[in-house]
Amino acid sequence: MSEVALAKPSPRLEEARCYHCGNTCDNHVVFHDRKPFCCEGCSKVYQLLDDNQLCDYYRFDENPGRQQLEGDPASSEYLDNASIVRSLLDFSTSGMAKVTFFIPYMHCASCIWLLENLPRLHAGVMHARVDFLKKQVAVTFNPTKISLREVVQVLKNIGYEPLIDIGKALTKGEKSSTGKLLTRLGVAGFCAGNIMLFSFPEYLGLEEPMYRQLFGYLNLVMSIPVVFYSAGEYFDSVRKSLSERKINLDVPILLAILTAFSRSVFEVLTETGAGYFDSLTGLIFLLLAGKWFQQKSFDFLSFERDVNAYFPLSVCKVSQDKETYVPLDHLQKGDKIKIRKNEIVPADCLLYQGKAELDYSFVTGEAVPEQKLPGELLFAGARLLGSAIEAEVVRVAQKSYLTQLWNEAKNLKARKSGIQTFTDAVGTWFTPLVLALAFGVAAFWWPTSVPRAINAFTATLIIACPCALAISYPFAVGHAMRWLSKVGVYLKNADVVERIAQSRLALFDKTGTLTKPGSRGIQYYGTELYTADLQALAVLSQQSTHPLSKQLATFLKPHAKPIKIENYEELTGKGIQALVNGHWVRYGSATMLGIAQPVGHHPKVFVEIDNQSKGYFEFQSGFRPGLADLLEGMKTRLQQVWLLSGDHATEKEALQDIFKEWSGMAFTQKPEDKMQKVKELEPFRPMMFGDGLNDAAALQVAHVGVAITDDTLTFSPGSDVIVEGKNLYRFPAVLDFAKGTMRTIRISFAISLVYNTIGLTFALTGNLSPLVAAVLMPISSVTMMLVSAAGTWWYGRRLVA
Amino acid sequence: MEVIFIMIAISLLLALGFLAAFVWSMKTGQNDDLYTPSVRILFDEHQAGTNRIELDNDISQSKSH
Repeated sequence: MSEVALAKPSPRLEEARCYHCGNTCDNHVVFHDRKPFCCEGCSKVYQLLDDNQLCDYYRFDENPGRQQLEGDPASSEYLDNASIVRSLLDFSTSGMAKVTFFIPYMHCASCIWLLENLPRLHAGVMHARVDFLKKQVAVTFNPTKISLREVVQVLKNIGYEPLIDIGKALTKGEKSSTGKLLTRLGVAGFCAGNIMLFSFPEYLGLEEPMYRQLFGYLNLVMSIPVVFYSAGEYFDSVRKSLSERKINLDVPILLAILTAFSRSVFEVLTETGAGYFDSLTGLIFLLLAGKWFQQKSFDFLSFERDVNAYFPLSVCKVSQDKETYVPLDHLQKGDKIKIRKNEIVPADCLLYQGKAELDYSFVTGEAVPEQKLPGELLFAGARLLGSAIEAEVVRVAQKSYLTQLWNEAKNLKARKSGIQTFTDAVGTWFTPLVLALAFGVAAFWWPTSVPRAINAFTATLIIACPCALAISYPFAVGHAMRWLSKVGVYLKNADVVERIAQSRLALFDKTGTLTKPGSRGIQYYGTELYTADLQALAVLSQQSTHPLSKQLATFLKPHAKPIKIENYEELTGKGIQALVNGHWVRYGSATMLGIAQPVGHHPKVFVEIDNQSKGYFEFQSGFRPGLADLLEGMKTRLQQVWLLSGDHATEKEALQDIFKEWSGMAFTQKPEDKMQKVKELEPFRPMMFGDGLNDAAALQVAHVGVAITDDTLTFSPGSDVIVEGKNLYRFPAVLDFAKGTMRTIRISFAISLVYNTIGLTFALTGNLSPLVAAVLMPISSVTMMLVSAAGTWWYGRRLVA
Repeated sequence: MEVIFIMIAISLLLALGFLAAFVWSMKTGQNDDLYTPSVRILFDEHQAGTNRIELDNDISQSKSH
């Protein structure tokens, strides 16, 4: 009857799994070497590996291959361009060149093995080395035997296509700051350990002056690199903070460090004591350990990609019928360019040849593609769906509408005063309090005994150090970051945990955020339709501009044939009816056809042929599962939940069905509208959920910007958090966890005050011996670390449950 | 008891030696990737010069067990 199987196919019991990629083969098995493959693509990769004796690939992991999907692959002609090649290579000499690629698909041991055996696939490749956590491979090759383009082609052939973008080429020069921190930490650790060793005699009651001096001087010398090199960051931080007239937590810490150092140096030089070098260097070591613990980064994600990374690396320029590929930044106003199917429009340009069908969803959020005719302006960032077009550049990428918006958002973010973090708040009142206490104590003892007064003064400054907080905070948020990554929520840096806990309002984008891209489908329910009926519907739906008709038209496109239509009538907003080949065909809403309204919020289009109701097409909105609970959960915790969509209001009712208590809904929001709205709501510390370019500016400006991705490596600019779409439903639990982490930090701070008080009783009476300090310090630090680990573990268990 | 001076000196030298080794390892980038080497050691080394076809036969024979 009908050629399209409109009812759901029933699952088959025994389905072959592709030897290469592990997907089920459905109806279509390809055999090679007596092994089943799901498609020609997978089979080809197997053959390639087999020819090169690389079949061990299948030994290390189950079905490690990637399904080779059909589709227009992006052209790699631009890799022939010399200046682009130069910008991508790490270095090159005659006979040897090195390049580092980011390979998103890398996910298992087989991948590592195959990529490092790349030399076996081509003689020109000399060496390949993988960094798995970063998902990078560094390939050394001989440019006289193989070109960069060919290297990329080999990688594509085995299913490991590199992701190349301008952003990557630009950020190559980044140096690892973790390395520097680790070196400082190492130096601090070595010196602190040795100083502790040499301090033992002092604890155990050494009295012989010669040895006392010896150990004293040794300790002094060893502490110099620790104070001035390892703790170097604290000097910079305090200088910066004071120049901004603010007091952050590093001020009292540096005060304590310098006081301890100067007093210790004084004591050793005047032979009046042994100093506090052990506590001092131990403290610096623990502080740096905290910083290092906090610094975890997810290298396989990129939070820093900006607009430039989204644009193509090169553009096809047309001049006098010749086509050349030029780098994007060489493009100028007035240049004529050619854009092919599936390519991104690289600059604001004027269409002059061809009819453009553009997908702006990534830019405006509008799900329905736009048609543009010659003479119309095309904005940069859209993807071309139809056949190739030619256009003239009006504004280059750097000046395009999108980049302007992006830059504006970045400037706004830079100027933001920012809510004070907990640690900064503590630092602000802690410092004056400690100074007041120290001067008070000095004044108290001064009349009695000046040395004792100085003793008490310096001891107070040393012991009343909020170092416990400085240790518990980074360890707690560091743990928090790791816990969150276990549920697929990745933070840009550890401070974001606090921002999440501070937020009081959530904003959601619709397309791509609340809906899952690609999951929209049209499903038919009812009696099977004849081919002729489908053809009739196909033709009729093409006549209407109603969004549902247009989607139906695309869905039924395979059936479209030129048929004569008579008595065509469109009842706006309700449906269509016409006489097609003698049959009376109608489709539209339930009310138009006089059918009882069925349950459910998906839009439905009912079909009636010759006055007989046949069935209906259901337009699945593709909302993510668990949406109702997510929105409910967010509302309970945050009091306000908003919707900001770039799309039309067609699904307003569906959204209200799912969740009734939206604090506000706005549709047809352009990117700058979204950014504006987020700015307006700034006092509530908004958490914005979005994806794609059209949300980029809003994400930048929000207190917390959460980027949703379904393919973890797509563009997620300006965000503080990246979350996989399938884990979005966890966000209410994430909020609870963030608040729990902050609670843990506050509790640990309260505990540290207890230690401070104990220490102060010794310091205020001028009795702070090095032994007491050396005992109190490690105990309080270790307590902090334990409390922060235990607290985050407690809340973390609830998170992953 | 004066030997303690020599011992202190030696222990310091030892410690400095370790510190130097640590700084050298940081500078030569040995700590940049701590994960991949753990996977890499599980791979077999194919000896250079071995007849590839022979090797492949060995592998397929062991696979068929």
